[in-house]
This record gives sequence, structure tokens and C-alpha cells, in this order.
Amino acid sequence: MRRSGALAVPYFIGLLLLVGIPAIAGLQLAFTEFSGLAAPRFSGLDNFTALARDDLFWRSALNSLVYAAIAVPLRLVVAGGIALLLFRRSFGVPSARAAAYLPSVIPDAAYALLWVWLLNPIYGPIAATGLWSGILTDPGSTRLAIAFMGALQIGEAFVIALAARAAIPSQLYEAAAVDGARPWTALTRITLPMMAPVLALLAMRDIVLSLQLNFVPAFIVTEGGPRFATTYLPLYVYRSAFSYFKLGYASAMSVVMFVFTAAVVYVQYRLARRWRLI
Amino acid sequence: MSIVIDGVYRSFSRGRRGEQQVVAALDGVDLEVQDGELLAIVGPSGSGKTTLLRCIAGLEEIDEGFIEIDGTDVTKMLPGKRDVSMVFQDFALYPHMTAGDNIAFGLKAQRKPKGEIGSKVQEVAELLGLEALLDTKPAQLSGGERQRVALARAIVREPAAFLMDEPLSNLDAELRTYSRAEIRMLQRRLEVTTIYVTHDQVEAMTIGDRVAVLRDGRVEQVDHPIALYRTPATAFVASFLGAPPMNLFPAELYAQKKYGSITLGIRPERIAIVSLEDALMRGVARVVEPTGPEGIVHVDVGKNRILVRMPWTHVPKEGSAVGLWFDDNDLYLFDGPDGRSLQ
Repeated sequence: MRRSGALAVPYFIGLLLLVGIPAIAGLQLAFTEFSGLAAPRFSGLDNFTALARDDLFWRSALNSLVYAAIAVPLRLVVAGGIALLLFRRSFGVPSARAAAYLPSVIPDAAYALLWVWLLNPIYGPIAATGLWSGILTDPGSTRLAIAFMGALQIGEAFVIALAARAAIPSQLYEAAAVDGARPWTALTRITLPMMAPVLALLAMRDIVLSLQLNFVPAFIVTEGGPRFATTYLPLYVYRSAFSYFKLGYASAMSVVMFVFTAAVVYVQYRLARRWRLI
Repeated sequence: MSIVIDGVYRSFSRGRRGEQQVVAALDGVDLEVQDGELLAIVGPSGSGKTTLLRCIAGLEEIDEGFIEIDGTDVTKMLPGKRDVSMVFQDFALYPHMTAGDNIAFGLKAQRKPKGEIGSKVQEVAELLGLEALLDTKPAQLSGGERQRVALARAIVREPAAFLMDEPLSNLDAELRTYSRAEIRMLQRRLEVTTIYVTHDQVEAMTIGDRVAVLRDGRVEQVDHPIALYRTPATAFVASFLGAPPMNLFPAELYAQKKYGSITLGIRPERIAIVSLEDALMRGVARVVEPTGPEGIVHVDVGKNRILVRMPWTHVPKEGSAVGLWFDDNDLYLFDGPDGRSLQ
């Protein structure tokens, strides 16, 4: 036990240096006025009261929530759906599995640049089909487009869902088949309930991720627009800190974002417990 | 409802791509199960008994032949249409459902009315003494209780036939003997045609109205348990049934002139240990194994080892010289090492 604990030491050193100390420093900065040029000046709760009156902050928070509300279920359905489709080994399945994982290994910036081209409203291939107008110009469509971008980067969730499906003994399906259950019954009464604990955990993880990881697409593909429709919290934090040099203000926002994320995860955890999913 | 299995072949391909071998799991199986009968299918592992059961259930397709249940050809039917229910070796209970939901699953899948489902589940639970456990999940049940839930799930649908795939092999020895008798009583009471697969010859002999011995995908013999024991059709059946197995020796048969090589067999309980003067054969008692009331004596006669089963009170000392005696009428003759009975 002690020895295996020692194996975690390098990880904890990294955690402390890269997350712990910056987090504590950030928490301190949240109560200061700091431009990066002069020394931080203690300002009490000023940053937080300013946040409460900042329309753009509320707007980004709402954008983030809307993003999570669309992206999390979408990603879960895509990851779970592809896992169920590609569960059985047959012709082409191994390459299809690799293809499903591939978008997750592409560096985020490269992936985003690809989408800049795909979504281009003038010469992009999606616009050329004529099926989807208003991408990157209409706020609603743009929000959907960003959520859709994330729905293809589901490699890890896909692998976890695949493993969860593989863990269900095939005899349960045979028993159901002999009992006269149709495929739909087997899916809804056996597959999904038995995968539910894993899917619940994936959803929880995805909420945390989706509140943070839309930074790259928003930064590269849409630059927060149109009309602030894709200015999510992480992007607004970044701009406040490194475009407007309001580092204290940005820190305060990070703290709020952290508390907010923790609250969402907690609520979800309680729900999952109540529904006996985990 | 009778079951007819006619000329059933089923083969699998094994090994890597390019160097696959075709292995016949079922190599022309013919069997007939009468209405209300319990047919036990027994054989060593790999003999095809579970494959046969899965073919009857529709979980495996067959390459040739046909299967009839209650006069209907079900060969091409989906498992759910065959009106059979199956008890699996590891019970295959749905872990996320309570015992009650597990039992009700088949009825729900068939969209039976709710009231009917409730009353049937209750009825079967009473029959198997599961009333108090209906709200319990499988993980909280003991092995014996799980097995009863699996039985209840099979019974509740009132199918034309039960298919049981080693339903007792996951239970401990004591419970197995008890459950065996329970299944037997239940089956007699419900009078449902049953096919019961086991690798345990004692279980097959005690539970079956008739026993089919399977070997390498073929039926060696089907008969009533005692008949199977007394008049084995092949040397394999003779050696497979009985504990310890029948003593088999290579021998030469002369009837005026030399007939050829045969296999001579005698049951361990049909040999007596007698004084050296009265003996037909002499040997040395190498090992003496107590089994409770009886002992099994391993006697070396020349190069052959002969097993003798006898009352524990009369067993010789290990290492002592012993005389063996048997009645000619107790000898079995088989054609060659693997052959059919010559009697």
C-alpha cells in the first residue's frame, strides 16, 4: 500500500506545481486589482461585485451553459451510439473504430483550423451543400456548429462506452432472445440500464470538460462571435486577462467558474445517486 | 410436446484466417424426446452437448438436418418463436433487475397484460419458495436462490419445453444433490418436456428418464439409465458411465479360430478379492482408496491395472498379494479398443 502510494508522488508534485499553486495564486489575485504592469493591489470583493453587473459575464455564463446543454447529450449519444454500432467485430469494424477515435488525437488547434475551412460560409463544403445556411453568421447556427465540432471528438468516451458494452455478458442477450425479446427491448431493458453507471460518469466528466474545452473552437473558429454568441466563459476569462489586462478580474471569474462547475457536478452526482446509476 | 432432432450437423471453423480448420461440433445427431420426458444428455467436454442444446434453442444455426418441436419445424425460427425456455449454466440473470423483474422479463417481452404477469410471477414464486426474495437483486442472492430464480424465469412462460444447460454446475456438492431432486420433482409435476445437459454422469443417470451419451458430436447410445449401465452399446459408454469406470483390457478372441482383437470389460463391483488358491488371476494391491462404506482397490495384474470396488471392511492391505475372481457372465466384449458391443 505504502509502495503503491509512493508511485503517485511524481503525479502529486506535478499537481501541486501546475494546478495547486496556480490555483491558490489565482484565488489571491481574485481579490486584487492587477494589470500585470504594477504590483497587485488588494481590492476586496470589488471584482465580484463588478462581475455581478457585467452583462458580458452573464452572457458568457449562459453561453457556456447552453453549450453544455447541447454538447454533453450530443457527445454522449454519439459516443454511445458509435460504440454500440461498432461493438460487434465484422468487416470494416476495426478501421471504423480507428476512424471514430481519430478526431480526438488531432491537436485541438489543427482540428479547429480544419473546421474554419469546413464551416466557411462562402467557400466551405458544408455551405456548398446548401443544406445549412447561416453558419458562422447566425448566432443559433454558430452555437450548433461549435457543439457539433465537439461531438466528433469523442474518442475516449467511445472507448469507455465500448468497454462498458463489452462487459455485458452475451448470455444475457441469449436469455432475452429465448424469452422472445426484440432487439429494441434488449437495448432498452438490458444494454442501456447496464451501461447507465458508465454513461452517468461520462456525462459528469463531459460537463466539466465542456465548460472548459470550448475555448479553442471559440478562439480560432468564431472568435467569440457572431454577436458574442460563442463567447464562452473560458474565452472571456482569457480576453479579460490577456487582451484587457484585467488579471484580477479574470481570476475572480475563474473562481466563479470553478464554484459553478463544482456545483453542477455535485447536483449531477446527487441525481445519479438518487437514480441509483452509480 | 415432443422434440425431434433429425440428422443435425453443425460445424465451426477454428484458428487464424488462412489456416482455419473446420471442426464438426455435431456430426449427424438423431434424437427424439417424448412428451413430458426428461432426456439427460451427457458427454465429456467438447462432445457437442451444449452446442446441441443451443441449436434446439435457436441460438446456433444448424448446417443440415431439422428440428421439430411439437410437430412444428423450428429449424429456421428465431429463438423467441420456438416456445422453449432455457436455464443457463451461470443462470444469466439480469443483474440490474430484481428477482421479480427477472422472472417477469419474458412475459413483459411478450407484452402480456400486467395483471396476468403479476399473478403468474406470484404463482411461480410460491412454487419455488421465492416470495420473500422478489425484490432482491441477484447480487444479494445465494447460489441456490439464483438457481431457483433462473428456474422460475424458465417456468413462468409455460413453454413447450425446458432446455437446461448444466444448471447445477455452479452449486456446491450438497446443494447440487438437493437441487437435482427438486428439478426432478418439479419437472414431473409440470410434465414439461425437458432436455438436460450435464457433463456429470451421476447427475445424468439420476435425473434422466432416458440418457443420451454424446461423443465427438455423435450420439453413442440413448436408453434408460439402468439399461445404459447394464448393456452399454460401446466401450466408450461402458467407460464413461459408472464410478469408478469399467475395467477395459485389450484381448484376443478365439472361437475355434482366432476372431481378432477385442476389448474385454468388467465392472469394478463385479470383481471379488479372494484367497490366492481360489483366484482366477493374481496381482498386487497397489493403492486402496476409501470412499466411505466402500473402498476402491487398484490391483496390478501383469501390466494391467484393475479397479475393484468392495466393502471397506474387506479391503486388503496396500502392497499385499491378492487373488481376483469374477463370473464369466459379467464380462463385456467390445469390438476393438473403441468398438461396439459384441453381445
